[in-house]
Amino acid sequence: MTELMRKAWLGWAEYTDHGKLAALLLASLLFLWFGRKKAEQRTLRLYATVMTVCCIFPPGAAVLMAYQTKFYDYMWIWSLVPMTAVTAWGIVLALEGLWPDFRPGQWRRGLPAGAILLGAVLLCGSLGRPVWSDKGQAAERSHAYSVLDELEEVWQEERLCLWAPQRIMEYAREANPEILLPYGRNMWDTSLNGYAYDVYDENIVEMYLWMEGLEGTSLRASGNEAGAEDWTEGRMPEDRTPEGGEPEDPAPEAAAASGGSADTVYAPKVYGGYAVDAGVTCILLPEGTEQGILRELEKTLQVEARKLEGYWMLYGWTD
Amino acid sequence: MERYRFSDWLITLEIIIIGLAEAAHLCGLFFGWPFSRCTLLLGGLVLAAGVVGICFWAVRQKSGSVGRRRKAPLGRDKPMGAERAVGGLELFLYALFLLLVLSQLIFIRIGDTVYMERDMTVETVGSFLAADGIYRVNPMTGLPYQVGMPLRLKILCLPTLYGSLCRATGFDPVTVVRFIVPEITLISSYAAFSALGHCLFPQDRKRHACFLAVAALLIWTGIYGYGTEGFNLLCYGWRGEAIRNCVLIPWLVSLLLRRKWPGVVLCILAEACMVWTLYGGGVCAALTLGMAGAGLCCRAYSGKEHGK
Repeated sequence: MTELMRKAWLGWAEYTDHGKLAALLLASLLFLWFGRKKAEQRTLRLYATVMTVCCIFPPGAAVLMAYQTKFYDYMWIWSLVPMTAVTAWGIVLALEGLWPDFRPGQWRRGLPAGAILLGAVLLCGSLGRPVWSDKGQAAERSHAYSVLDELEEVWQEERLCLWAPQRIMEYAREANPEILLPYGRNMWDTSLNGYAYDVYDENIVEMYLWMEGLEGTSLRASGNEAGAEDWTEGRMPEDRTPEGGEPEDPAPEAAAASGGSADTVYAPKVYGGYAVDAGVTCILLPEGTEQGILRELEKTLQVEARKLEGYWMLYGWTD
Repeated sequence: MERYRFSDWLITLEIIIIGLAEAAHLCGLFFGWPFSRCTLLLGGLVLAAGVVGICFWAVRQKSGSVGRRRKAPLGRDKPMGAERAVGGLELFLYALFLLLVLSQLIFIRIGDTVYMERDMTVETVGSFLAADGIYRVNPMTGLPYQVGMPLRLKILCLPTLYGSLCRATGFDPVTVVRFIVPEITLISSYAAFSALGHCLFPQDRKRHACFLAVAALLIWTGIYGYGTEGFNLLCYGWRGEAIRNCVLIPWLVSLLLRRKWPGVVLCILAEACMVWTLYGGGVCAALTLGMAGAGLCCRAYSGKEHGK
């Protein structure tokens, strides 16, 4: 219960962080209670008020969050309050109070009142501007779709199990549900892990981290520092950070013994092996991938890389 | 008793389709039917329900028109359904409302603010179609499940409904899930708001039109955050939570105010088919109990007032 109370406390702050429609709701409720001589729809008014109070105050919110189960976050308890309907109801009655019966003859009084209410509504929210909106999403999706289309044109085999950077794999299954992946969006969007009991084994997680490291390096090499900031080499998905912080590096001794660095020799051998074990049939590496890594992976898989829409494509190895 | 309006019938029809989709979904889930067979079953059930509905409507029309002939006095009152002409301000407000709705429909189509996080509906629908089965593979990877998924999530029917729509229309899952369904949800939501508006402002077109226009404006301004009604309708409209919050809840409130209990039961059942709830006890059930409690309190208070 303490945890729920803490989430309820923090949830309210987050809920009102980017917009204040809850304030508009409270103003509407105050008007419905104290601004009207005649009490209409008392049941709805009482219910909306009590439920709004429960959603705001942590003890009530904690009870509601327990009822809705931990599958949902704090903001979903507001589903119990018909917010838009009650707010609109209050605004209409307030406007009608200032502009009786909306008579055209009283427009000098009515229009300013309407303008003030309109201003209040606009200031409490945003208009078509979701705060979370990622302006690059459209470009990213378009890029991924074009790479995947190109891939499907050249792909001759029956089974395509693709291992690629996140920005390609993110859209692979939505673009074509026939494409298989060694790991999906739930690797980086951990909220999706609530939908299944399956977990990824360590090798698959290391594959993801290595690929994202290559992507980050490639972006930096191409001068795209802003894009590279999104990728952190060795970044661990939230719930997989081992105690002690950093994931272990592949054994540098083995790399030194084969005459190269851990990154360019050992890693491609290891991760190439992991990919084959996971059933991957096609790998896309970022174009800026170090040539040493690319050559080593070609050697490990005994195939030759070819260019594909800004990526190196490797495929056609035997298990 | 107030008759059902067009908006009531529209939402009832949608809930019936959700119920039929649930039946088809459970057949696929528990009997292992291929998804194609589930789609055919759903299509058949919808057709059958349509035929039954048309027959029911025809019978009601016939008995209703006979009743009207018996009861109508000799030409003194206006014929049933005749209302006064729509005034200029009402026209303006309805036009404003329609303009706002149109802008939202266009926004859904081209706005590209679809919220992908915490959602895998497109992948799930795609996996149903590709594997021709329900939850035979993990939608995230396309590979078979190693352990499985919670049963309470497995029994939710919306992916089957959307997959069936894909088959029926020929559109891909992205188009159906992210564009077509949210637009249907948006229109249904305003049908629900319209029904609620008629309850709050009975026989008053001006205030009803104003209510709808203000609601549409609040939907626009509410797009800012995850979980708000504006966000649900404009960025997340395919989700069960969005359909519940923006269609079922406003309609449920109007049903409770009108004391139309069969519709209340339908809302509670529809939510259980679409959204993870606590053993079927979701928001609709809680709201119904809350409104019932509020109604008892109001009656007790007005009883005391009259007693004085």
